[in-house]
Amino acid sequence: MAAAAIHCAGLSGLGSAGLYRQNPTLHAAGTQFDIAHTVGQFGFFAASMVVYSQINAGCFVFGNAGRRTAGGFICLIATPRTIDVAVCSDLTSNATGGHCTLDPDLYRSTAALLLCAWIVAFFPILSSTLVGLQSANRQLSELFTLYGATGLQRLRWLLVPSALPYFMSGLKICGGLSLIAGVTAEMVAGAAGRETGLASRIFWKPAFAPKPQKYLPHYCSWCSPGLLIYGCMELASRIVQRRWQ
Amino acid sequence: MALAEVDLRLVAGEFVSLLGPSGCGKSTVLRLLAGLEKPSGGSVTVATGESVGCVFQSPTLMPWASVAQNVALPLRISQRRSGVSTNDIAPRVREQLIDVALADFADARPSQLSGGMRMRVAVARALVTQPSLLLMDEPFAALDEITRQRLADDLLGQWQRRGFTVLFVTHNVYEAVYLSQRVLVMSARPGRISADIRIDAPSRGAQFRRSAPYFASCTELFMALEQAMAGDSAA
Repeated sequence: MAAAAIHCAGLSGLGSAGLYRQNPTLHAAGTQFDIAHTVGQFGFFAASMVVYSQINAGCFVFGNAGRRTAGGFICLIATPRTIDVAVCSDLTSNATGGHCTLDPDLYRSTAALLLCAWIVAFFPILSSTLVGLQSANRQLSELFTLYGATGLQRLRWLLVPSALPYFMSGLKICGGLSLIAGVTAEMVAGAAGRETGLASRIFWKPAFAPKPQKYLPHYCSWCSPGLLIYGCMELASRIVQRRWQ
Repeated sequence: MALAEVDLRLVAGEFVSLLGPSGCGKSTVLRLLAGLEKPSGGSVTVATGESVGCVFQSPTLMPWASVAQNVALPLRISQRRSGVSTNDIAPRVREQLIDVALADFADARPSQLSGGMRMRVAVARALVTQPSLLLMDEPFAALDEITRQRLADDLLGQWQRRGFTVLFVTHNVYEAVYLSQRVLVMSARPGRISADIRIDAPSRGAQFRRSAPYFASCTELFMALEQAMAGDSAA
């Protein structure tokens, strides 16, 4: 779910870049910034937000698919702690510096943005879920052994429910991180004039509105997806975990 | 090594308690019988067709599942092997919950129950498969005295009605005497059975708790326990 937020981040660049080229007067309009002007620029700003939202949403989808695949796969075959550590350290390495190893062709596509943002945002979900899978009650696990439970039964009735609170907490972290990941992905993998989303807006806005108070409202409005995502995550977490209360 | 020279035979339908100080290997014996651990030497034989139920010291319920779902767990796990149909699970669970006086709490979550009720759910879960051998590892140790007595009476009632074999691990002499037909006293380091004491009681219940044979058996067990611990000290 958290990764859904990331899709919001990046893809807006495509639409906003086109709008930017079609309406160069917006450059000058930026220097005359006021609240009314901000409202007037809503369409322009919205285009960026669409790209940003698309990246967030993409990461959300990929994040969940990845969680299901990786989580299921890992808990079936990689319960030894050493393998978790290997996976986590690999992902950490990817999250911190792995972007540089991407195929240059990917830089030209939205996929690069999505991949970069996903790598960053997915890591907390994976690490939390792995911890959750290993936190299953030992005696309950022995009970499953006593009754001859299959791997699938153990996964479905013990491991997944045990890991759910941990997954939800990873999701909440991922929700906030996905926004950062969206901007970071655009900075790292976005190409000039293309795939421009919030990162580009953050870069060029000060140039046209030198006084901080001129572009502060923009930054505040850019924060709104973060608050929205956190609220959604919190709500989802409460709904999913109501059985634990 | 946790255990040495443990020769333990349980007769079908018998209620046997395993008594000893902490760390003497009582739980290890139980885990060996349950198949949760493998012996480094010797053998553990459970007669063909014997099904085993197990109750741990803590109820170990699934907090995300209802009482009925918790009780149904062993049936659902072993559904294919035991041939229990899905339609049979709910009536069997209901019947078991009636037996432990929790029929009204079938939809409750474990967090909504008291400690004693949770333990009753754990006992119901162990008995729902109608096991021929019930292994209990200090199940009432964390409960208050009144709840403990009530649950002990409930357990005795179930045992008398169904006639399954019970191996009951405890470190409480009074509980062992009240519940058991036979008490095995274990000594520690490494654990071995140092005494096998038969408890003769015409009937169990409040009267037996106040009777002379009860106190005589308790005294005998205390002495056996002291001897076992003195043996450990001498060794």
